[in-house]
Amino acid sequence: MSTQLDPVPQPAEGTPYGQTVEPERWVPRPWFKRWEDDEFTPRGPLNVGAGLLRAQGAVARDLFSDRNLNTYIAGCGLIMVFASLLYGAILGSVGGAGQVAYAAIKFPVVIVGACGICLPSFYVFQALTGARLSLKQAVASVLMLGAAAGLILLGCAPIAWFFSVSTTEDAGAFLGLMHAVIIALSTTFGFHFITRTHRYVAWKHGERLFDGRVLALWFVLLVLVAAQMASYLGPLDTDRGMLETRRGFFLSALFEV
Amino acid sequence: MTAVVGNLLHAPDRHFRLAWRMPARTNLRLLAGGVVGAMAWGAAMGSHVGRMHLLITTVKMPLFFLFTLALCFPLMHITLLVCGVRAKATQTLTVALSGLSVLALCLGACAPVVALFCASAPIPSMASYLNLYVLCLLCGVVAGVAGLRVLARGMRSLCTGRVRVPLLAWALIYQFTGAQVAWVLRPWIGSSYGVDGYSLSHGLSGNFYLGVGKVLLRWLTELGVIS
Repeated sequence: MSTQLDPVPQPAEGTPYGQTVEPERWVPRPWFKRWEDDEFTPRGPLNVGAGLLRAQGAVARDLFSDRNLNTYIAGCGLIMVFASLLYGAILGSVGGAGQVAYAAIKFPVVIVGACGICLPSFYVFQALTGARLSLKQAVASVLMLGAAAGLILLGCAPIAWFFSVSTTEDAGAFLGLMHAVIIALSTTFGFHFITRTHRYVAWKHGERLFDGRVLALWFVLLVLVAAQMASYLGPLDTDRGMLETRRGFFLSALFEV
Repeated sequence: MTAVVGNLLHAPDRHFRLAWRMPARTNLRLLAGGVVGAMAWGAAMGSHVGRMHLLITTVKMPLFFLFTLALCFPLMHITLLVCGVRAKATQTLTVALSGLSVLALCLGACAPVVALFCASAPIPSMASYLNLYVLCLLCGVVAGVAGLRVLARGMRSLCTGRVRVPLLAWALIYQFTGAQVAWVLRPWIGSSYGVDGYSLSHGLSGNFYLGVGKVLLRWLTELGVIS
């Protein structure tokens, strides 16, 4: 029997803290370096938005290591509600003052409700596929997705408002398309943030905070649920009252439009 | 103001190095330079119809640039941050104002030429109106390219990576919103068949993109492409 030990495999160059990762799968990308340099400590819930925009790497590290999660949950929840409330008011501004109030209440209900409905499935299926994610981290992740999307909605809000007030003639289709593009862009950004967090954590720690395939499927589910809630509550339907709901599949409502 | 404008035109890199030391003062001077350029350009466009229209367009042009920037600024700042350029809001404002000032100064530099053609073009004449429109468009394209180059320099002074994505995003956001703001503040050159001041109710009617769509539809119908 040979007494000579096999050579110990050396960690890939540039790997943080010498941890073993799968170099073929997680090749360091340029933005990994940027995220590594990010530094951020949330001073309070109102400060969380700055972290989501300026120091995403630090937020991802906090999420992975369960640091300051209560502050992140409170801050992201606030951003999500405030952004959807403001954008809802802009959505309703085409239909007069009453519709502004209705849409400002209904739109946050759609957004927060869709996140709430999809949260259990997110946590359970992530756990089933081997992701190391606590319930608190799952809540924070979903809220971070919503808050990141909300920040883009806030950025687009002045432009959307201007188009809403300066467009009068037969422009329902144009405004609808514009709002759809803005909402799609903001949702994509939220998902993009969570996906990058997943990649960064996998590269940095060699562990999976999320399962990528479940994440992608869950995102499709979230979009479907949000669309169905929007169809049911109708924040954009000027003919409906505050508590009036309408049954039916959202795709058939879409085809009617 | 002249020193800031001189640096901006001759040595944009130096301008941005100096601007990061005293951003507030630089922003004010950029604003002043940009407003002067925009007013000159507005006056040149308004000289086609003249009298009251000239004064109104002179006031409207800086308003157009600044109102569009005010609407777009939050999204522009967020875009910059999301693309990895870790800028403060004042730095974003400096970069945006630098680009806009160069754009307005280039337009201001073209203003005497445009004013000559505008003032000497026959009125009312749809052909001369269209020619002036094309002339203004060409000046706008040249000034736009100069402004974009300064924007790119400004973004590069804030980060080490490539800035193509945020630059394109900024151009897209500003153009998309600016087109509608210009629509609301129309007329600019002024109709060849007489313009009587500015009416907000006229400005708020319709939408730029729907207007373009209608014109295209009419052309296609007249050409017999669609019935």
